Amino acid sequence: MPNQDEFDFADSSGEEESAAEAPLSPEWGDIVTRVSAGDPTGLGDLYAIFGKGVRWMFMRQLGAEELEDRVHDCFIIVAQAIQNGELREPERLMGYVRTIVKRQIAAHIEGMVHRRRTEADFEDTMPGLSDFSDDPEQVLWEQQRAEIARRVLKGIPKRDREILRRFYVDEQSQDQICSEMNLSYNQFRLMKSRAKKRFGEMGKRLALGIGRRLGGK
Amino acid sequence: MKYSRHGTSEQLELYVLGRLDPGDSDKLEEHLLVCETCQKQADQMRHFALGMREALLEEPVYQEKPATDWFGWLRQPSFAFATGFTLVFLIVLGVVYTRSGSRDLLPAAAIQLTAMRGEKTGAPRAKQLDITLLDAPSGRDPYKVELVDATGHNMWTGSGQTSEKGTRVSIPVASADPGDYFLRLYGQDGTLIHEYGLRIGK
Repeated sequence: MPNQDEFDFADSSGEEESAAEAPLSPEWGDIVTRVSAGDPTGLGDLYAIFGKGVRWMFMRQLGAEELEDRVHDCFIIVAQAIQNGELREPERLMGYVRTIVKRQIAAHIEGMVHRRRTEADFEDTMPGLSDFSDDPEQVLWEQQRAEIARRVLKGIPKRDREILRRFYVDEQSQDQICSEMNLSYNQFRLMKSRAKKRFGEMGKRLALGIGRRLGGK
Repeated sequence: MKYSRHGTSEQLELYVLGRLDPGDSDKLEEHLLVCETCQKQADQMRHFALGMREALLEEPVYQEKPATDWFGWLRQPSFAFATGFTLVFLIVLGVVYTRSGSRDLLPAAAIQLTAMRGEKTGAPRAKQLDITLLDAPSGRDPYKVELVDATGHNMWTGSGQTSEKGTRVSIPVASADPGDYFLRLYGQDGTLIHEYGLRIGK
């Protein structure tokens, strides 16, 4: 279900966030050295640092199903690679982790495609036995998200809706939209930012209302 | 110690839409593995984009209309063609009308009228008729003269000049159609003295 953080748009003011410096990255070399030496603290630090990010990436790409197993598998692969001396540039640790995550995702998708291909024949002969419907909670959340978007669209001019349609549905570039609709980049960003802000406000109110209802039960 | 940079809102949005350049996407993804702030922002972008996409797909497509150009039709080729054609037609018509008018109508025609019951003096079509009213009473004061058509509708009113040979009057009749007309002569007190019949020929 939605929570208020998911609607807290950082760029709601309309100003583009600058490429600010993030907090200091961990010293990958030190962690790699400790992991390769079999130091348990090294493994603990490694897991603590990228565990959340890897979980987030799997969750975004593949959903919640078998999430912890996937994160664990990925961790094992990375740790073994370090211990086997396969990671020659410790400062490139995150690049390596990203590659492993991508491979895992690709393998999972390939497996799903293969399963669907073989299971489809069986399903064709036995209709109605399997229930592959989506998670009801997820379906509800998606419906609410679309409803908020509909309300946002109702409150903005047609021209703004056309801009959003071109960007999010027709997948036109910012340059193309600005050129064809005679907009400056700032006007384009500001319009999009206002829509996001409105979406965020409505979403927060919705999440708050749901929270109160659930709390009252 | 290495620093990692946050992605801009634009980069994060393009990333979640799968439209960020591959090189930038790889770097941003590495950053996302360790930055919860950017993860959160990317999630928000994703929710917004997915919600918008779904809602927009349900909407009828709106095509932006060009700014109202009230006089745009003047620049249409069809209008230019029609205007040119009309101009040529009017010029030709004018030339034909002018030529036919000058051929059919005499500049002036002189006729003499005598008031006789039931009698109509013939006159050619001309731009002007110089009429002498032979039996008009002599006098020094000008007479009022009126030309009416067969239905009595006034066509012209003026005055005649008396002379030894009668009263002379010049009447512009270029617009008069062929047919019967009557010339009425009035005295100073407004009484009708004579009425002359006149038939303008074709």
